[in-house]
Amino acid sequence: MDRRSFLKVLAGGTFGVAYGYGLFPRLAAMPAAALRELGDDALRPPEERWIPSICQQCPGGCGILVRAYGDRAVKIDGNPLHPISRGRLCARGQAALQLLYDPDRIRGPMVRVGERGAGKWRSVSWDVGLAAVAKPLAALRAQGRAHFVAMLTGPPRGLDFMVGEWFMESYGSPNLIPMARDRAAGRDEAVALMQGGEAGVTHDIENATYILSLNSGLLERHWSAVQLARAYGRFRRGRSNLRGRFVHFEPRLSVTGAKADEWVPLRPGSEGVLANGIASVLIREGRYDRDFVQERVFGFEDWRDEGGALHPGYQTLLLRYYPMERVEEESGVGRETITRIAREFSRSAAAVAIGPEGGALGAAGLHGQMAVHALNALVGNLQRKGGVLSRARMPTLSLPPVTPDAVAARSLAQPPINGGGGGAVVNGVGSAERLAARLASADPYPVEAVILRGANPLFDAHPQASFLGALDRVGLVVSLASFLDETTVHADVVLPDSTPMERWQLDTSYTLQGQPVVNLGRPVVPPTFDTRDANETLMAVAQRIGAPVSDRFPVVEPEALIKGAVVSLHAGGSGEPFGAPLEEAWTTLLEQSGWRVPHDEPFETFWEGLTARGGWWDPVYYRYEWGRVLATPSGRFELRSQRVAAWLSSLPESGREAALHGVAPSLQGLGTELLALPLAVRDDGAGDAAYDLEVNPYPIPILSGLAHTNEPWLQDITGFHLYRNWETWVEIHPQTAGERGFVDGERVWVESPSGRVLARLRLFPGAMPGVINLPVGLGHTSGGRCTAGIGDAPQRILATGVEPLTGATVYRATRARLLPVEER
Amino acid sequence: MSAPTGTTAHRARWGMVIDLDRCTACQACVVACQAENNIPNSNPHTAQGGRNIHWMEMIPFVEGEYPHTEMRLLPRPCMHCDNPPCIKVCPVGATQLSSEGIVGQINARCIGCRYCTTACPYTVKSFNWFKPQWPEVMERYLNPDVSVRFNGVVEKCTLCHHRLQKARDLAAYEGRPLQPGDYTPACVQTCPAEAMVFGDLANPRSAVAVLSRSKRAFRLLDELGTEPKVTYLREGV
Ligand code: SF4
Repeated sequence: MDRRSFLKVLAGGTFGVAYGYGLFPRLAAMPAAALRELGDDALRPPEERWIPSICQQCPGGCGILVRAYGDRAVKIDGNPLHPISRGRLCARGQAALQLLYDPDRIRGPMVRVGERGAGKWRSVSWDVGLAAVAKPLAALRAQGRAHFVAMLTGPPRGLDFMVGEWFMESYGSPNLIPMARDRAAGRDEAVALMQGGEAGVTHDIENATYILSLNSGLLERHWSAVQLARAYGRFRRGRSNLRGRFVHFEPRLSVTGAKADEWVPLRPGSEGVLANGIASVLIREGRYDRDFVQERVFGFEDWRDEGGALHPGYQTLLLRYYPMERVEEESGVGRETITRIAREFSRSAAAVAIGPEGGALGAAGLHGQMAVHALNALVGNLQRKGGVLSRARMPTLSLPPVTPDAVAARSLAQPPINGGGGGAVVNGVGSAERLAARLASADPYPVEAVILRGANPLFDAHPQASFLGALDRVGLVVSLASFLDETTVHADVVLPDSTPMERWQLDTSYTLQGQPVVNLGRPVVPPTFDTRDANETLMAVAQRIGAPVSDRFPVVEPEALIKGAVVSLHAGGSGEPFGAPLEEAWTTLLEQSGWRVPHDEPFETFWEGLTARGGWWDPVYYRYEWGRVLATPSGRFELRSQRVAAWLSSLPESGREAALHGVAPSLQGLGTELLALPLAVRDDGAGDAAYDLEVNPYPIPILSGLAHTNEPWLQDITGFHLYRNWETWVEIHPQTAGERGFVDGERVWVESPSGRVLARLRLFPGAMPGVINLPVGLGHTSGGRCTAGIGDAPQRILATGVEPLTGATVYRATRARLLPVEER
Repeated sequence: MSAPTGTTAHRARWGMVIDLDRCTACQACVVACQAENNIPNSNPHTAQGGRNIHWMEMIPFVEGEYPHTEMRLLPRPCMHCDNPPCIKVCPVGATQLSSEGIVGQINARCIGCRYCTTACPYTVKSFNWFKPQWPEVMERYLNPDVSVRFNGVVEKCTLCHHRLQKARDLAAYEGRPLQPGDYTPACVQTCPAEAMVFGDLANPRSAVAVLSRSKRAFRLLDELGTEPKVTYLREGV
């Protein structure tokens, strides 16, 4: 859309929802309105509106209102009607203006000149750029090799993913691969094993009375920071006479630790061991919810198979393998503390246990997360107020179905290049490492073209070199990125996407109460540069490939596309466009007393409501749909995962031993069947004695969830607790530094067996002695002036391994040492 | 009593309460302020010299020895003191206390002597050591309601005074008095934890006045006699 037609749409003005500076919606454009009455067009200042859109800085799903001043966006605030943001925003949301008006954005289509990765580009017209992609794709298809094309995307949700699917199905490739941006903390997978289902769970913080946080990073890297902060504020002070208690375990004193009532230092990677220690206190003292365990839990007791052999259950696992001495030693937490906190946890009316949040880099592992989640079942807080809530079903949003032509159908029948999700038991999102291996080995077939869209595997992959090597073998690399990220630097053709506030968007998320939310955003300003909505770019590519691809994937206006996708929301009859809290209370009340209010308004009215208010949600949440909440083979909460057990029994004995070794190298010789239970271990990473310190990597809160970090407002406040910014720092206990002759403020190398990073040393009395605390999130080599070359990327020096159950590459415990930079 | 349009019934005294028990130290207030008030961007160079400008800043206080270390995190705007030390030292009257209690900064009058930056015990005043610059296209996000400063002058939190002016205009246009919620600074508006409350301290029933009388209330460096109008509520019961 060019600037002129954009302004025409603005003039149409159906979507200018106006809000003022107060916390409540009111007309803001008053001075303009007043001037209009004066009637002098020439004197009138630019039209000012607050336009609803979606914050896409992180996956949290906040609805925003953007203050548009003429065709400029000058401020972003929360959409007061939006059930997730409720008129508020986090720092990253506020900073999205610096994403929109980033001077280092890709300004138009370009093709590579010179060596790959050399950073030499020639600007081209869209015609030339599109042809440079469409021609080779058409040729591959003509040779029956459509499956030689792979598209790497962001998370599998929302319109962009749906359009990706549509394109790939019409063209004929099974290789639409969502890539994990963060190395998964393993929590979703742990929940999937224990509760089944895929939607995951949320924690009802607002109504909890006690939060037991095992290195959760709750206040720093929650998946939806704005609603979390609101819930936390209410947990503390939202109820008369009741202030929730918050206990936090973490190796270092973080912001979350600082805000907790009690911070207890925990040795890196021992979250699961500590959880099992707490659980064994609950069991020994009979402080668990017997009714819940009896009615809804599987695998608590030992059991006998048909042959009469006895197999250990959860109870036996804890009592036999987690004696207090072991828990004390591995976690570094004293037994009095463990016992006291276990008792507090069991006594509180609504206690909830939370393990490491998304983006966590620790070594807690899948089993550690299972151990933490088991605590919730022990106190029976599932589906209770203030407990763990299963997310409700997300309504289906769909684009028209594709009937692939014969050529596409043949290619679509090929096995996907990354082997499906790839997990042995549960599928994580695609790992860059596995993809690199497949690309490099051309197994089961070579990949000739890669389309990058919302993925930057070169920064995320570990080690980088192997992914780069794999990418080098790909004939054509196309990037639809908005920014010159590390992978886009190696592209042959770049067809830049517009940024979120310049285009139509449809995305989904959840409230902390488990209610589904569908977010809708329309363009707030015209594209700043010569960029296009990547969905439109894909349509244009299909057009150039020609029939039959172009018939199946025709050019559709993004607005029409979204309109089509939400027809099902209207037809489904449940939920409603966002509204004031009072309306929601009314809907919920009516529906819960059996009065479902169908959407009897015509679709156009529904659509207007959606666009004016920013989206749809279903406020009515049913707590006791146990079939949905516990969708496991046993229909119960599985302390002993039947899926893991079934997988184990499908393996030869050697395979089971290998899996056990992958999870618990220090625990060889145990029965491998323990792997189906929360068999948490602390891996201390010990090896070469020269590396004398443990590494505790943690994500920089202000950058967590961000794909794009070229934002000076955020770079300025990365390490505010130590007055550090614009560089990588390392937090060391004064004694640990002193013993090795290091002083505050000097630059040091942090060296592990896999490499070294440069950091500014800060003495920090909140650091555990013997531990190097390394912030992760900086160290980009490309992407703009405020991110390229700023700080170092400590994830490169971490040890990695493959989690046998998910197939994902995960970080393992790492040891390192400090080396002086300057000669002394 | 009916108030004249566009103003409050009595003379307002604008103030703020920050509840540290709700605050998660997320720094949304810090960035919202940068965005609203056209505050110059920092870079590695200004950062190293300690010359970054923040009207609102998250201040850490680390105390105690491991494992009993504690960290207190205070969002710190201008305190808008009723008895502001900064005003007394300004030789040209560039910083003044308004009739409604806002300590303002008149950039055009400022001669850059920096007496006030030294006099302020809360260090909320910043000097523009460099000419503020926004690369091409970045200047598009500048707030049309707030003037951009130049090098050689001091700047500080104005409680988003321009928002008060706009709110007054709107109320006057609609022929009604200014109501609670009409005027909210950017930091308070965005606070996701609902930890910040803003309003008229002269109205004893306003939320901000009620909270500022809480048992948990304290004011920073109150003993200096500055009479700050920002009140903190401490953590804990
Ligand atoms: S939590 Fe995520 S979606 Fe919400 S405002 Fe912050 S960055 Fe945006």
